[in-house]
Amino acid sequence: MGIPLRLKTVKYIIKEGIANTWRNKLMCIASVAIVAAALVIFGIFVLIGSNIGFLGKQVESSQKIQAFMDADIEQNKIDELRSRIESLGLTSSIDFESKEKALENLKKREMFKGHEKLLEGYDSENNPLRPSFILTLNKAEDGDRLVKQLEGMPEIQKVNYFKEVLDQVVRIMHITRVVSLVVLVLLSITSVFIIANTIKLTVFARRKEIGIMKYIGATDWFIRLPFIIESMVIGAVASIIALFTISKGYEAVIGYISRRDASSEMGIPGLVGFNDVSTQLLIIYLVIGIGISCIGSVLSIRKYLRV
Amino acid sequence: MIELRNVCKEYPSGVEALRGVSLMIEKGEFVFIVGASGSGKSTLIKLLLKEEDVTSGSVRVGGFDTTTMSRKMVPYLRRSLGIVFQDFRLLPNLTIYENVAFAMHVVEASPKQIRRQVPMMLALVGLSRKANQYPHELSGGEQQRAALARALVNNPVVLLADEPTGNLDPETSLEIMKLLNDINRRGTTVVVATHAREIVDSMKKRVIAIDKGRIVSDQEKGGYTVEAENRQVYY
Repeated sequence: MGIPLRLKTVKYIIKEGIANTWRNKLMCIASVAIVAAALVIFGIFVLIGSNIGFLGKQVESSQKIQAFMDADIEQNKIDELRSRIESLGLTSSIDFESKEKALENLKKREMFKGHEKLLEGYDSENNPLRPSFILTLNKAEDGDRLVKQLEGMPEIQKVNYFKEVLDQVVRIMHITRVVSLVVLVLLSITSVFIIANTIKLTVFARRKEIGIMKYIGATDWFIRLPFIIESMVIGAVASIIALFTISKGYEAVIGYISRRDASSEMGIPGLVGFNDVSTQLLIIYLVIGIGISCIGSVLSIRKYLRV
Repeated sequence: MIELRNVCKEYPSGVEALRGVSLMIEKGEFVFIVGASGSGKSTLIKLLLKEEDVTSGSVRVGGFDTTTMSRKMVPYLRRSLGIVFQDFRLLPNLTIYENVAFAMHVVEASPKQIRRQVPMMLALVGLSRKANQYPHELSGGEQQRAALARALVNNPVVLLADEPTGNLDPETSLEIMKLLNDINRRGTTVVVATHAREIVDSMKKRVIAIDKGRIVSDQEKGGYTVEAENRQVYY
């Protein structure tokens, strides 16, 4: 399906498409409003979804696995072990805790407040603790695999791993991911229908015009192109309006929550900043807004081209 | 120019609109096609435009064989025909000038050609002074003139008019017919489907009468009511 039109004609049609948007401003404003509303609702769920994901990531990264080594392990063994764990690719961070550091940390612990004498006598000369790696998982569900690997290493004596907590986290993450994905898919389908229907209305309102163009001897592409351009303009304008609306709205929500928490003016660490999702959202909007409008207008015109 | 051979048209509903119509219209002719509503004359026009396909027989218009041509060629067939309807069918959002220019944009004419040709056509139909007005600001007769200008702007070989005076008062109708006659004198073949008896009688042109899907008479310089003596008197 090539477009057998001269460049000059295409230019004329683009001009015409934009002029048509203006000529049919009432219909276009209505379409823009409907499409923008659909996109805003869609965006709200994208934001909720990415916040759930973000929270999940935080929970995941707060789950740590501690692997204890022999007390008298040599430095080169430690380095070798670190690179072996690294090469598994399951961890996002590997922190080494020497036994001196472990003792220091132990002494700082809340539970020994006022009972400092319990730890008296333990110093660098007499240190019963072991050096360890503190590992952070890439994905919570990789916990079992990592532990199995670690237990297989002869230099590792013991692995501390809160399996039940991790399992619970993994389960909740899975459920929220599936739910938000389902909601997003449903919403995208709804948005597509709303947008397609809007275009159908625009085309229906101008079916006479299409008929006249056919009688004058306009080719299908000559008729189609202005509509496509018009719906692209509608889609683009609606996307920008929706993005603006949702960014202002989201900022307001963040502002409200942080004021209520009175914790800081910097925003809350538990929420995604809008700038982190704005590019993603803009792309989604333009794809849905413009893409769907294009496809929608081609499909809805088809019926009226058969004259 | 236009040749129908044994054309039959049966609609899916079972209505037989045309039952074996054959006719020939030469270049430069002025032809009325008359008949009551339901006689099949609208179907005939639709077949010429390839808005409908024949059930059997063949239809040739200009260089096109509408029975064998592909769908993709339909726009080009229609470009060789100027078409005028009872309800004018002007684009409501465009001025008269833009409406006429639009037909030239459709055939991808250059802006220079458009600037030259459109005012010429508006002058021909006497609408130069209304060029920048919108269709709804014009009277019925003026709108039909605008439609004529649009139909003629690309120099079609055939002008097809389907009930061009159906929405107009007798005086305006006569003006439009005079205009059609002028256009015919300039060399364009004109085919007018109508049931406006007085006009057909006064014009003294070839009249093809259709009834129940068949051609019942084909008279040079005829009248709506077919009377051989009448022909003699005027010629």
